Amino acid sequence: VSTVVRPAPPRARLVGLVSSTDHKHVGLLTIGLAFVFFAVAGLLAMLMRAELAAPGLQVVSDETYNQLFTIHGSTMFYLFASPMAMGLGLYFVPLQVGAAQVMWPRIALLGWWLLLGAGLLMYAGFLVQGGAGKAGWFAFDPLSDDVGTPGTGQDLWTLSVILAGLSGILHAACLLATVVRRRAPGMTMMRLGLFSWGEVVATLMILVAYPALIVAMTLLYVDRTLDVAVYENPGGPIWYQHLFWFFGHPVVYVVFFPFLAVVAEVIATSSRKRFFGYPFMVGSFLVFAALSVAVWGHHMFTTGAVQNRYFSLTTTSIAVVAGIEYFDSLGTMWRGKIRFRSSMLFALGFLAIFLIGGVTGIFIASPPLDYHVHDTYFIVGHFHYTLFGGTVFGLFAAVYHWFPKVTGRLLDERLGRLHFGLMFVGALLAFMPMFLLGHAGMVRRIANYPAESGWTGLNVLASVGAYVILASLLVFAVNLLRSLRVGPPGGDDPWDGHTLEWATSSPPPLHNFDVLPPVRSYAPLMDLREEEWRRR
Amino acid sequence: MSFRRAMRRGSFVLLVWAFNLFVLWAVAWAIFHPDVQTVILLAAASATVAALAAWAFAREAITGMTADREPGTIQDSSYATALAGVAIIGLALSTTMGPWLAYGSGGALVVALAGLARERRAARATLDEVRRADPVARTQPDHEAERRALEQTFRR
Repeated sequence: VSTVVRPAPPRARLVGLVSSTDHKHVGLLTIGLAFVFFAVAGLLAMLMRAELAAPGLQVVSDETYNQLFTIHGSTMFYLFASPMAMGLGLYFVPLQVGAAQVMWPRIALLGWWLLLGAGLLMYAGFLVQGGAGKAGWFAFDPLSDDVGTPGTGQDLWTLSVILAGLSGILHAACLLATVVRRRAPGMTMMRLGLFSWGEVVATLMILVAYPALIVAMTLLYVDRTLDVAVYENPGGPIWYQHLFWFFGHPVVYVVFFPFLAVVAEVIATSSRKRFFGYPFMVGSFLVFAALSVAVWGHHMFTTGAVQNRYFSLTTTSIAVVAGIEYFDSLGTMWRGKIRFRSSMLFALGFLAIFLIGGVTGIFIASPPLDYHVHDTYFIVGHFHYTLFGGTVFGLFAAVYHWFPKVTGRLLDERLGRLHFGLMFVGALLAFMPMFLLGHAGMVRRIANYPAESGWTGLNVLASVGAYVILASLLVFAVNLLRSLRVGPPGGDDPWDGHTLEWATSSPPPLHNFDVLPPVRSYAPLMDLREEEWRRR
Repeated sequence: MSFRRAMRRGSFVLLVWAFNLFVLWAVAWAIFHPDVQTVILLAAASATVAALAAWAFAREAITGMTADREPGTIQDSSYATALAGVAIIGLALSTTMGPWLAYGSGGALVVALAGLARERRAARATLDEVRRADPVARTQPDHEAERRALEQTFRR
């Protein structure tokens, strides 16, 4: 492969970065921006937990609390989790498939700009009269129409979600096209790294589901700002719910599959074995992803407007394919020489925490049980175990695994273990009491509750857990800043990686690879090492 | 062609996924008789992925199964794209802020599109230059030579 490098004209570093079409820069920008939004949404959560630690209103008003939970949820979904999944993909998928660049790099950069705009618009709501959006991250109509939630803040929120949705579609299109069209010679689909497979199914879901979100939000915006009653006919609110949840459930898996796939790679690398049952894992990805597009109606069981039996069946079926993924992960660890580094600890934490979220998901896939706990803290507990386990633990497994590839330096292992320990304990403390609170009848989205309800103790426990999570993130921030400055060099392949990104320098050059190894399986670098061992 | 062999192709994977969605739609429609919204949304999902699969099949038929073998350029920056992003945000915001922002943002978008066209022309010119300098340039790597090079790296 010959590469002609033409020197670029000198330019300011920041300007160069935000106009860069190198997929690694766009990926890093997206990851960085998503981390900023994660931090801000986390602070909003701390405010909410401070308010809920005692009965009565101590910290914020009811009105402000509505804005806090709306912007917290919206940020986590639209501005953090989904962009983070795409950001990791933009950085690593071209490397894993052996491509010199992402397909349509300008579109990838445009996606980042739209994400930035989405964030600015959403938070600009706090600066306008009436405050930010306050109709929840779902903004059900008629709660979110111009009568239910008047004010510019909700308009800005709606525009922001449209931009975030567009950004997701642009990033997904680039990634899917890269995998379909830019794979290196020998890299067939059944030789893709698992992370790339996770991204493929996530992008498929985005391309199917996000247009529904954009349609729902555009119609809502028209409904709010023009004199057109889009959702005011008798079936309007149900149509809105269909459109929203057709996006809203798949997005849970969009922010799950890439991280599940990272965890699978971390487990295989840390166990020093090939991933067990690769074809079954790929098959389960495809079936799981398809099923997850057909389960949205379980969010609407209590409306009586959907066929509950169908959605209960599809939702419960997910347990079977998820079981294959757990079985394969355990099979990979079985008789492996496991190295319990921070990335592996987070991978194990992912499996444990997500399992709780998954099992409680099976409870609420049953309509009678769902009727009992609908709109209570049980649901809040369930989706926090799912999303915190399935996204945040997976994300940190990815960070500890790939930090040396991106920066050329290693993160501190002792701080990494402390980070994991605090986060694991914090997650259990923060979210487990929510199941009990929900079962006891505490409903969601309330800033206040009666002192005689008996919920204070469990709420205090949940708040303490939230602050333990905050402490763990501070430990991570210290580790990150310290390692960026004085971390030991990691080399090109510190973990004996399996996939192609470890075959290039750390950090990789603009064109990604000077040479590509032959690709004969989904673990081409392991093939080379095994060949070397056999020869010895 | 066996299923296993066909699964090597990106387009076939998309087709498999479209088929999965079609089965879910068919089961819902034929057995559970759900509401019209469920039927429409599932059918639309299946059709969307089938269209993507058709696009991928067409591309594979034209240019082969995996990477594009022709030389290409890797551009490392695009001011025009950044400007287009700002312009689109401005246009979105103008629906709330007023038409004055729409005029400014619309103008910026026109400038950005002109810039993108200019970048495209420059990329084509560079590619022609490379082709003239090396008429047999191709991106198909020599596997054996690369394997040897990588083994040297491991030994080091």
